[in-house]
Amino acid sequence: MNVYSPLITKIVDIIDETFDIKTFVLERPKEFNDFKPGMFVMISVFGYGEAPFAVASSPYDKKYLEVSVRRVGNVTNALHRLKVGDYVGIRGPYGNGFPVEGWEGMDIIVIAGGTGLFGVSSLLWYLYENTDAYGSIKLLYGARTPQHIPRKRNLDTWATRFNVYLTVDKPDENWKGEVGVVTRLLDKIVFDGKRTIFVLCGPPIMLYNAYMELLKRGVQKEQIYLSLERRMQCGIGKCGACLLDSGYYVCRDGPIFRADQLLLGDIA
Amino acid sequence: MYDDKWYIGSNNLLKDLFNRLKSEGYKIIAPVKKENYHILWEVNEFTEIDLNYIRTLNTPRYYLQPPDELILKWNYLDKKPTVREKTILDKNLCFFGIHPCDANAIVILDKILMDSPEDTLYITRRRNAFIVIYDCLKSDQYCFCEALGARVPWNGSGDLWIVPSNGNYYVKALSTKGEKIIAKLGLCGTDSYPVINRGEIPNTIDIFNNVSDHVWEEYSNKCLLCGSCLAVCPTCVCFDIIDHVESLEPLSGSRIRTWNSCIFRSFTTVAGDKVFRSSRKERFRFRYLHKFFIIPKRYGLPGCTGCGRCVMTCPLDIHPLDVLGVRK
Repeated sequence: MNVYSPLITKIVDIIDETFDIKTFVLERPKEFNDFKPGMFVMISVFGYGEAPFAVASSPYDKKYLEVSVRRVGNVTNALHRLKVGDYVGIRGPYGNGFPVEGWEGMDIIVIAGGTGLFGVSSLLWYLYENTDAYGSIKLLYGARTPQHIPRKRNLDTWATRFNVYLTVDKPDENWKGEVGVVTRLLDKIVFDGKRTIFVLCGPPIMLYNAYMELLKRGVQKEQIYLSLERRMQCGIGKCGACLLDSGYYVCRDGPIFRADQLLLGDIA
Repeated sequence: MYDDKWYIGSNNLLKDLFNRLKSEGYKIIAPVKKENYHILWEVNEFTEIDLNYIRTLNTPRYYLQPPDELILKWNYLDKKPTVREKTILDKNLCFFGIHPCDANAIVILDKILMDSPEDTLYITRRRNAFIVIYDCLKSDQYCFCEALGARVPWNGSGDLWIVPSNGNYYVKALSTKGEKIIAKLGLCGTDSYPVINRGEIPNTIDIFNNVSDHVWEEYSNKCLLCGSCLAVCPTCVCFDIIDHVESLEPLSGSRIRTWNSCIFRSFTTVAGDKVFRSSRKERFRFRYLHKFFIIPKRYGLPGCTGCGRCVMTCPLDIHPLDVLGVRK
């Protein structure tokens, strides 16, 4: 079989998350291999093209795959016009995924911003199912406004087993939580920098700021994992579009990198 | 591997070899002279071939990973799309008379595209291809293969290596496929061998690391970012995948892959208009970074074979060895 040939799968549900984000629940094709948290898929809307999306559902879910999509470009706009019962093409799973086995016994702090929540959703589901294997688990999540917070039902579910901290850049009159960039949440929590794994996912500027903030607080690069985003055509290390200055393919060697693998220019 | 087991061919060798490969069903791609330029083109007759050339305009990549290659056809029946994969039914390719630099470039394409998971489209053509390397009779001011240690064929570059010498030919098998052809042609072995300055493969990683920031600044301001150097490069592999709509009723079309280059802004632009390599300097430097740092680091070979096409094509005569500060 051609490596560029997608499987065809059906959209069984569409959930409106925010004014510009929808979650697509897809039938998981039989041929679709098991995936590790943090891996991604290439989704096709034929006639518009193909784009990479993180699998946002639990790796334990054998029936469905979820991708959350912000309407921002060619393929994502086409996806947003689709209805339940329509079909898309899917290739994958691709990427390395989070090295979760190696983190056992450690505390874990996941820091996500904006649509970066989708890049760590499969990880958070994995941690949700395996809380016993880890120390304390925390999610720090920042969004632009309360209206920009997607997957609220998931945030509520995760909050039953570990701590979820939210912040928004611009509050509305009903917002009672924190205000400010996501890194400010680090001041609200207590952590032991020596036995904690930090996971970062979000827009480049947020990644950069959070990364610098952690280094400033004395966290070692070896404890920081970043999930990167790049333009991708193939997903398998051929097309060159996601090749980093450090020489890694985001699609094949990533999208999860330990900070000491990367150059600062790769992060932002 | 360069000094032992050579064979001698008479002046009929090339014609005999051509006929033998043709009778085995290969589609023969060879240098042909058209309007003052040599290009690699499909030939039916031996007389169409002109081996007295320095470099062809196009490279083997043009056949092994063609521009605008069909990946698959898709069409909608009702609302359900179906996908028809492209099947490669072409005849097996034979590159007849390419120079060592271009054959070595195929090694680099192999490293990238045959790295797991293999590129299905490339590998089908590549595994079935037969490559006859014809040594260079002359060079020009643009050639710099010796600086990259690419003057002689690298491992895995071809099947036969032919070196012309006083009306005869030295012939060497570089693969078992090549050995079989030599046996079929009934060539005689010889104790002598052609003397070629094979040079050393340099450590381009160190060379690249020594280039100072103001050099990137200077050359990237000079460069027009036109992408000519990458369009003619035998080792460039980067591509885009795009959909073409061919009919609206029923909705159907094709997915093709088309060559793209890291020097263009669009190459790293993601939805929402974030450009990861937004400056001229970053994009200019990246081509060098990929060829002289990343490829050697990943695969142990330079990502450039010194064919000279980029220098010849560049409107501003930017020479990679000048940029790297190692031009003699």
